[in-house]
Amino acid sequence: MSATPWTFEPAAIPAADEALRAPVRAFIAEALRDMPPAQRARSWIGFDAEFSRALGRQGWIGLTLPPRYGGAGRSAFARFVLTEELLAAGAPVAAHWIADRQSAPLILRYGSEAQRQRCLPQIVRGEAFFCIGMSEPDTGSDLAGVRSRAVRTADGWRLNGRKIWTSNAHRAHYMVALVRTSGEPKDRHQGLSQLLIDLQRPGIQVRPIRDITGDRHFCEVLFDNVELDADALIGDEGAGWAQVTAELAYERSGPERIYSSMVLVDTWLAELRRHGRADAHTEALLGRIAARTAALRAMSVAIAAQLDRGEQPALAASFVKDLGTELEQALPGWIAQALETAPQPASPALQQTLAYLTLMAPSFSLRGGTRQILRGIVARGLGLR
Amino acid sequence: MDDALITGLQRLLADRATADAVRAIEEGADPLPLWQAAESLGYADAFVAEAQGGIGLPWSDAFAIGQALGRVAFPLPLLETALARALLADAGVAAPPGPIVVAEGFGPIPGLRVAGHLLWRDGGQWRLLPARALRLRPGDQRPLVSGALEGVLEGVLEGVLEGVDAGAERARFAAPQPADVLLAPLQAAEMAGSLAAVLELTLAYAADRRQFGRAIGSFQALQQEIAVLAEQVALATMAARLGRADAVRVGRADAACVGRADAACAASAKLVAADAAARALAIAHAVHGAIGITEEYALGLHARRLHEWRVAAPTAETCARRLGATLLQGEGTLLDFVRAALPSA
Repeated sequence: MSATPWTFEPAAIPAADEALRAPVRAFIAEALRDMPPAQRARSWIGFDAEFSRALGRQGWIGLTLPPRYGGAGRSAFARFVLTEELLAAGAPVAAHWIADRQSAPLILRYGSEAQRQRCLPQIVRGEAFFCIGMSEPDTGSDLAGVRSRAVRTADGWRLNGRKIWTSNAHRAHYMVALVRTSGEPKDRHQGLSQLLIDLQRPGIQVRPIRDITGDRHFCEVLFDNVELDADALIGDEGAGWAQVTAELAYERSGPERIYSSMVLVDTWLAELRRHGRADAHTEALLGRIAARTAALRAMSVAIAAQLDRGEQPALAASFVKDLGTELEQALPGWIAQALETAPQPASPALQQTLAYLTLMAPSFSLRGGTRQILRGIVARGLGLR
Repeated sequence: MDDALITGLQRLLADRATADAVRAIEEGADPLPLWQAAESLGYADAFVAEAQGGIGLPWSDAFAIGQALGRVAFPLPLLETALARALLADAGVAAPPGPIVVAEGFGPIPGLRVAGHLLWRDGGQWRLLPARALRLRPGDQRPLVSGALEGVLEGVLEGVLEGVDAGAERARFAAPQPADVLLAPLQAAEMAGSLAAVLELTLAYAADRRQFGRAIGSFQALQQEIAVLAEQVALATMAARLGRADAVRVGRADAACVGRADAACAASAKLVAADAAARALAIAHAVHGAIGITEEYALGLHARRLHEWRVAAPTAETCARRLGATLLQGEGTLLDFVRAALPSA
């Protein structure tokens, strides 16, 4: 084989990490017992602070963080097990999700010791919720064009600007924001920095934006002469682009990108079993879903193995995210089609889950980098650009 | 797998199974020299125990061998022969010389017309039938190399012709597993190799071909398409690796360990590879333009093979239905099924 810049070496989850599955599963089953599937299908945007704190009490937030910051010091495989159980079941993870997945690893890697001491134990306890300030009104996929600007003051930083599409800003305690600290938007990747913003500071206004289904999760955030302490800077001034790229790799490399429609599949599967029989088309569709999910999951486990070895599988993660969101987005349409000719009508719970995911599935290939951005990354990995 | 063995195979293929050589055989040239070159290095007996004169490789190496063969669109049924000879050796039957294909029932069989024998599963038994005993028609994609089995000459299966002429059945022994469960991971491995070659051809062409004053690969529209092609190749390759040829044991002694999970992995491998092949080829052809559908260009060799494998048993739809039926019969969630039946390694 000629060398390719990506590899997917099949890996098995070690038994010690697999052992985490049973207690996690029991915990989730209890916590989600009365939650209807349409609610569980919200998962990423299902905000339940008490659920997150309960997870924290179990030691299941910041699983891979070092024990000195309250973490469990577990492997990437352990986190994979925990994450896939939470997501496949549709647990309401929104409150702690961003902190667990990317803010905590970012602060651990680039933050000062004081920032680590301040933030990481709170995150681990499920007491500090984070949001990510990347997109702006004029800056989406072209992230280097951010205009929010922080200037140095005698005591720290003064921030002005606007962020938008910021998930859970109205319920988060902190934002990790990418802002300009020198130069102009035309300077692109130069002059960007990451700031840790306490959202209680004066001058910050958060406006939730209702989504297409009526939910409120993403927000517009306005910064009007917000005064920040000097230690709001994460990492090095001007290193924001490199840091945010690393942060996005955390965001893109987990099993998150496979399971967004899994509650729908499982609800449909349970109804098919209750009805007792399925036609050939339905059987084949189920088989395709299983095979595709299995191959994607194996690729995802392979990435967990690379993370565990300390590698940086950013390119491989882009493969999985694009393939994974494609499957997640296809599922509502496939299942809707199967239901159109089904002998038994779908239950209201199944229909509501389907209706919700039909509307929200387009977001799966937006969050964390659009499909086109990811394919651009893959094309670069192929040497095309 | 021993690196020297796979390197040796790759070297042989690079020297002898060039695109021109493959095309010549598919156009009717004598396949014997190429076959003998592969056979002389022992690859046809790759999975036969050393004590029985083979290399004694574990079944799991079928992926690496298949991938190497697929990359060059190796035109002869070498991996199928290796499977057949392992089954025969396990049953204590001396293998006949030359290529052997493996099948069950009727329908398209890659390499049927260049095979000396068919190891045919019928009524729970393997039956080793010489090519002369078969009724077939030319293959749809490779008419001079492959064929579709339409029947067996009257009297052969009843043993009436036994010992009468070269058309007689050569051996009969227990066949606990469906033929297509054994074949699916092998096909998927070769398809993964062929898909890797399709990607390489497409990347090379996109870098070389210029339009509007620049390489077509520099256009974003094509970059996005080729990215999808690469993703499909990666997906198919992973599924093929998980086909778990190693879990599909050969022969009588291991019949007891043949289980549902193995059949599921095999089905998943073929299904994902077949679906990926359809999508990958469509993109590869779109990037290549007219040159891609010419006889002289190597993409056609892979296109014919990939489409031939897609319709060879087990087809993608067959695999999908089997998997789906198994999933429906079980309990638990999709993730439960995936973890138990289609594990990540």
